[in-house]
Amino acid sequence: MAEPSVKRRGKPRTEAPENLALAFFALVAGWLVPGLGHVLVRRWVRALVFFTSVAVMALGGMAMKGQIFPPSFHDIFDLGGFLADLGTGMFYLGASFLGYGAGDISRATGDYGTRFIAGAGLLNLLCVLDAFDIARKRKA
Amino acid sequence: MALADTWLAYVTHLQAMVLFALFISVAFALLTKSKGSDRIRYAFWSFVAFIAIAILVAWIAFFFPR
Repeated sequence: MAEPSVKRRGKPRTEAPENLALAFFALVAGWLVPGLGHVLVRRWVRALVFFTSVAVMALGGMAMKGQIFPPSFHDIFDLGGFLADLGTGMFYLGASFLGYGAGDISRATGDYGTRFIAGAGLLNLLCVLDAFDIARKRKA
Repeated sequence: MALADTWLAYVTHLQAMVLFALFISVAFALLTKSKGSDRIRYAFWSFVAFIAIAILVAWIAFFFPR
């Protein structure tokens, strides 16, 4: 007699997630230093490309005199800008420490730069989640 | 070297858009595809779509200045 087929959704609950500590370490490290999360899970090409992309966009945005949003909870747009910028990790912290990111609205490039910095932060957040998924064996 | 002294401080809108599209397309290709050939194809078409849609939207906006 044939065994009844059992439909399963995803992995069985008894299987423990692999490298959970590494996954969370990759999450934090990847946020702080773009690409470092992928170095920890041995994805060298991704690490290099993600670091280059985030670095060029974040530093390029600052060079364009883009604005970096300080921590603010008064306005939803300021909060969104702050969270997006915070995604760049060390670039946000470094820029805040060194005094970059005051923004220059007198020139069009300042507006482009603001978008570049926010784009870099959001891109890094996606990269961090990718490293997290790789460490948890959810993705190749 | 001050960041403001680089050529990036003087980019045009089109140059900024191309730069943005290039890096985002390459990163998206690596995030979404696992095979090398798939990545190249995705990055290329994503880049083309970024530029083409932006130019299309710009032309539509041109006819509605205010």
